[in-house]
Amino acid sequence: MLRFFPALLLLAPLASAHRPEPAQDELTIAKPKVSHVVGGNFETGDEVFRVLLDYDRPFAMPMEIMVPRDKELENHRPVFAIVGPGLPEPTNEQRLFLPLEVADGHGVFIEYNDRDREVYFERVMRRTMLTSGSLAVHLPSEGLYEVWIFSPDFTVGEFWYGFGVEEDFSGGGWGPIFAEWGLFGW
Amino acid sequence: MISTLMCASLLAADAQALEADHFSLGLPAEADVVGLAFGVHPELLWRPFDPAGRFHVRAATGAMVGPELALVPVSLGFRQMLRPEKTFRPGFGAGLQFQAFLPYGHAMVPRLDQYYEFYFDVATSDSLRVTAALSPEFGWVGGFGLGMAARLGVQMDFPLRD
Repeated sequence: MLRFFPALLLLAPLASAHRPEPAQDELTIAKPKVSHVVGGNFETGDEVFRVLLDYDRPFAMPMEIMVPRDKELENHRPVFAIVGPGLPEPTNEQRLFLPLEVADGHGVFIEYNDRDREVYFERVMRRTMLTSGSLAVHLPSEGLYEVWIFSPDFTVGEFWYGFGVEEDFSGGGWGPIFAEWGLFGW
Repeated sequence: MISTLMCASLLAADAQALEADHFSLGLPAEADVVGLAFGVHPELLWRPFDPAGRFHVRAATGAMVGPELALVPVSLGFRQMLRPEKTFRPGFGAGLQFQAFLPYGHAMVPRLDQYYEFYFDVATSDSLRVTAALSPEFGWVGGFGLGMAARLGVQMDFPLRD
């Protein structure tokens, strides 16, 4: 039986899951169609985590933002905004809401994360999360899109931002789970 | 694996194999470190061929509670001891484990896992052992998933002796 153990480990990357990535001030995703979960932690509440996605053609990309289901995080509702070509020009109200300036010629889509949130059970790592719900966001042009993840009420705590449609764990895709156990494991 | 267990049961289907000295009861506390949870995971061990033998059929169930979920595993597998006659006994095992995940605020999520087990125990008397095990789990049916359980407990070999 034990001789099959390495084979099972090799099969694991074929299974349905999101590739984990720790959030950074600026994180470039090399393969933006691949399913990723970007995990981060608002320590002061005024951070802005930027995720850069470069598409070679228009795309409808499912996205959602989650926080652990925890009484202390009941009011933690981080938001993401997608900024890039072909999206609607931001209103004045949206410009005031956003933490960064939208460049000329770029538009914005904002997930305000202000609806009732569903409980989502993430089976791979057995985490119970509150999710904004998956949205297929139409990115109407090829080119570079930025996702800004921020906490409009300056609440602190963890978040996961999930997106993508394909599976690919090549090049050490599972590594961040173990390197950042506190974010993705427990 | 199920065929192996069925063969073991058929081969051992005589009255002797069901005598008390073919059985042990394990009472381990368990910590699940993927999806944090703690609880107990009692196990019944059966040595169908030889009361002092290496091969054990293992049946176990338990209940674990954590900050984000509770879970109830039901396991059936085998455990092979490498030095059954010694005070310190390493062993390994594998089997299938049905997991009923109970995430708080969510409906029950079932999953069938394969589990593996790296085990050792130390005899403290003729019928009592202190046990420890590390058990990786891989969910395949009902969605891919990972698991890792660490267990520490005692095992009583029947019939109980001083």
